[in-house]
Amino acid sequence: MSNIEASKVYETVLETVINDVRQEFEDSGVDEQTLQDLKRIWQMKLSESKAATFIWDPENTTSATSAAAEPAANSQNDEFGQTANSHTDNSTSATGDSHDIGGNLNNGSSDIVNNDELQIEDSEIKPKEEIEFSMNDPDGDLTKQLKLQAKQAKKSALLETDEINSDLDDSDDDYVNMDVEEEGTDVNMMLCLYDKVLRVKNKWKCNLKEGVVTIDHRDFAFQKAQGESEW
Amino acid sequence: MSTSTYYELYRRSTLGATLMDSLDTLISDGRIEASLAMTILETFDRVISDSLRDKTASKLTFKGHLDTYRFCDDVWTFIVKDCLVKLDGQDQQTELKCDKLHIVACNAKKNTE
Repeated sequence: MSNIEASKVYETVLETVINDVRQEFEDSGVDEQTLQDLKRIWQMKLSESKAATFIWDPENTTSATSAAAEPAANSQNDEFGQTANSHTDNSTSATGDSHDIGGNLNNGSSDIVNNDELQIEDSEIKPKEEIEFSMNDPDGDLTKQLKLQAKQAKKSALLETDEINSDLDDSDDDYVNMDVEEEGTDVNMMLCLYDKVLRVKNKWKCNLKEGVVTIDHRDFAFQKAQGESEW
Repeated sequence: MSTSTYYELYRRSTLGATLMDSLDTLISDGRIEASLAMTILETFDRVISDSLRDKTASKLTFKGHLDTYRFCDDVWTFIVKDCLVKLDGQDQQTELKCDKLHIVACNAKKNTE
């Protein structure tokens, strides 16, 4: 169901960007390891977004078969998309090693540095983890909340450094809140170029091209788009 | 600068946002300078613009109720409600409904200032 084209475009863009900035890294005296880490973190965050399936997705190797074998199960969970389902499949049906991989993926969102610790915890309290998984993934609320909190914390930390402007904190907070809402995961966003926008009375037509669109947390890429709408 | 001829629009996409998140992480860990991050984002602007132009074939249509339109600084913004989106891929067709679709579109003929 996820758009194959979007996955391919994303994979190409990621590879190309990483290769194209290698020289910049060298020129700035930053080592190759940092570049590889950037790539790894970026890939991980993309997998977490579940916007599409990627070749580097950790669950690809473990649950590709189970996801393919249970297409019917997806209809129950339309709202959350197929990728979310394959996660659930993974957590409930996978055992041992594959479980650790799933744990890494989910916990990685909170703190990358602690990956090793978390992995150890995972293997120690496997049954408990399993319950958490099946709640975390289909619901997604907790992850969303954590992400928002982290984002807010990051932003307010930035604001706090500017102590002189503490009087303005209130308005800044408003801005922060607005910003979070704007970037919120619930926004279905299309980003593209326009060729033509026409209006006759209240009827609008637009010819768009070369864009990406996120609908219900899934991404699609397109060459051309046409829209008709009434105001 | 050749990089300045590309839109920064796609930084708001999933791909761009995750890249910016990753760069933030590296900057706050003190592993890269902000200036290097800016260069990376400029590279991203170029690569994603080129890729969407050259490597996509899908066609998309949408219909809905136009709730808001705005044209400012050569950028169109639409908010379409009760939107039906059809996507014609090479091998697959997808139909999606959404309550609200936010569209941001830049001019395909970029003004060279």
